[in-house]
Amino acid sequence: MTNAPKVRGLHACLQGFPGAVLALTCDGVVTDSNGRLEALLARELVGHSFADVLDVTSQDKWARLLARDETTADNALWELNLESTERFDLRTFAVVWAPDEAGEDLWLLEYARDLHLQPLYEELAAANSELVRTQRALAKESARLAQALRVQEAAVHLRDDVLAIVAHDLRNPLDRISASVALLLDDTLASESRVRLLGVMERTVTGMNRLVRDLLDAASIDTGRLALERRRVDVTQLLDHVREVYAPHAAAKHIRFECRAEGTLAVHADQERVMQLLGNLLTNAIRLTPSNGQIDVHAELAGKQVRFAVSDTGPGIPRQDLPFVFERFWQGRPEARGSAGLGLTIGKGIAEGHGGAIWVESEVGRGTTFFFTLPADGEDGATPSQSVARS
Amino acid sequence: MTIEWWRVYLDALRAGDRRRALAVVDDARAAGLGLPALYLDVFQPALREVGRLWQQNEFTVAEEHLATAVTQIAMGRLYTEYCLATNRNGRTLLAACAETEKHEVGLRMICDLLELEGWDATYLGASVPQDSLVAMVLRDRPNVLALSASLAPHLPQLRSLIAAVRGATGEAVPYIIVGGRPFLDDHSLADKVGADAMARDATDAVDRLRQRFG
Repeated sequence: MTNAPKVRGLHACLQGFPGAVLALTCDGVVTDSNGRLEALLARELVGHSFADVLDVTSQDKWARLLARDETTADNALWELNLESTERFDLRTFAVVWAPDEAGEDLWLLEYARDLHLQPLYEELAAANSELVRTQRALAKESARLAQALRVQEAAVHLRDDVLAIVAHDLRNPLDRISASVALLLDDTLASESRVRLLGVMERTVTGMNRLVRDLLDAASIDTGRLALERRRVDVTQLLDHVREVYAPHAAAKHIRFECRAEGTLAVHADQERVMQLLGNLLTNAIRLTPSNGQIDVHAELAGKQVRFAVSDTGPGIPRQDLPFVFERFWQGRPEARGSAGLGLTIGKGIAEGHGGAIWVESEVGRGTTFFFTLPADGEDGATPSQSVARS
Repeated sequence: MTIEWWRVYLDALRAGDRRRALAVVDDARAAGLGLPALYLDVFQPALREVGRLWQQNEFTVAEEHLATAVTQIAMGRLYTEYCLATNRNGRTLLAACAETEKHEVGLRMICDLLELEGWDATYLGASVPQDSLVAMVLRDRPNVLALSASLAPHLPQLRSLIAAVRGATGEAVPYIIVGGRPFLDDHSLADKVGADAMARDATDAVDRLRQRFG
C-alpha cells in the first residue's frame, strides 16, 4: 500500500465489515485486518504470512493461489482451512481476488454464509443420519426375520409331512401286526398259519425299522451330521455283493439284472452307505420295471471319481418331474406308493456327503438312469485295467 | 424422446415438493430404471445440481437440506426392496462421514450399490465420534473403510480419524477410500489425509472397489 488515503479507506472498509476480513500483499503477508480473526485466533496477524494460520491440507492450494497458477477468474470463491479449528465456528474462508491499480493487493474475505445456523444444521444432519441408520438397521432386521420365518415355516411343513408319513406308513404295518397278533391269539390256529403270520410280522417290523432309519438319516443329512466311515472299497467286490442281494429280487419279477465295472476300481467311501444308496436306487428300479425288463449297474472311472450308473427299462420320469426327484417325500407314482419317498433324498445326501454328485436322466417309455460319483481311492484315483467287462 | 429423469426429479426438488419427487421416482422405476440407474443417473446429477445452486446462492441451506432429505426417503424405499434380497459375498464395508459432515448421500449410494452386489455395508453416516468409529473398525474388521468430506474444513478431522484408525488397527488396517468435493479440487489431498484411494463419485468408488476386491 503506497497510497495513504487509499490505505485509510481500506482500513475503514475492513472495520465496517461484519465478518473477519484481511488484506494481504501478493506474497501472502497480512497488511491490514479488522481484528476479528486476531480475536478468534488470539494471535497477531498483521505483518505475518497468512500461511502460518492455514492447515497443512490448504497449504498447496494457498501456494497456487499466491502463484496465480490457477486459471480461475477473479472473484472466484476458494475454501481454505485454518490450522486451529477446535475453538471456533469460523473455519472457512474464501479468497476474492481484488488487485488494486498497481496489481499488488489481495483481499481475503470471510466465508460466513449461514454461519450462525451451523449448529442447527449439524444437529439436523445428526438426526438425519440417525434416522437413516435406524431405517437401514430395521430393514436388515426385517429381512432377517422374514428369512427366519420362511425357514421356520418350511420346518413346520416338513414336520407336518413327517407326521403324515409316520401316520400313514407306520400305522398301516401296525394294523397288520395287530391283526396278526389277534389271529395268533386263537388257540385253534394251525401251526403252518402261525408260521406264516409270524413271517408277515417279521417283514412288517423290518419295513418299519427301515422307515424309522430313513427318517433319522434324512434328519442327519439335513443337519449335516450324516456319519461316514470311509475306507478303501473295491468296486468289483461291491458289485458282487449288490448282485448277490438284488439279483434274486429281479429274477422273481423276470427282470434281467447285470452288474459291470470297467477295470479294477476302488472308491474311498463308507461301504454300508454306498450299499444303502445303490439299494435305494435298485429297490425303486425293481419295483417300477415291468417283467422281462432289464436293470444294469455299471461303474467306470471318470477323472478322479468313479461314476456309477443304475439304469432300468421302467416307465421313465416325466420331464417336468425331473427337477424334483431328489426332494424329500417326492413320489413318482403316488398311487404305487411303496416307500416314504426318502430314498433318493438320502441317496443324494450320501453321494454329496462323500464329495460326489448324483443326477438322473430319463425318458418316458424308455427308462431311467441314475448316475452318482464317489471319489476314487488313492491320490491318482483307481488304476483301470484293459476295460475288462466283469459281470 | 428419452426423458431426462434427473431434470424432472430436480424440478420437484426445486419446488420443494416431496410427494411429486417421490412420484417421479416411481414413474422412473415404472419406465424401467433399476436401482443403479436411479442412484447414478437421477439422484446423483440432481443433487450435484442442487449443490451448485446452493453455491450460487440460488438454494438456501434449508432448501438444500430438504432436497437431501427427500432423496434419503426415496433411497430408503429402494433399499428395502432391492438391496436385501441379494446373496452375501463376504465383503464388508464401513462407511462414515467426517464428524460434523452433513453431505452424506454419496456415501449412502456407495453402500447401497455395493449391497446390491452382495457386500455387507454398514452405513454410519455423519456425527459418529472418532473414538466410536475406531472401536467399530476394531470390532467389525471391515475390508473397506469409506469416508467422505464434502467441505474442506472437515479435512483435518478426516486426517486425524484416518491416523487413529491406522494407529489402532496396525497390520490389519482396512482399505481406506475417501471421496468428496475437496478431493476433486486437489487430487493430492487423498494422500495427505492418509487414504489409500480417492473416488470421484459413487460410480467411481464402486468400480474401484469391485476391481480391487473382485
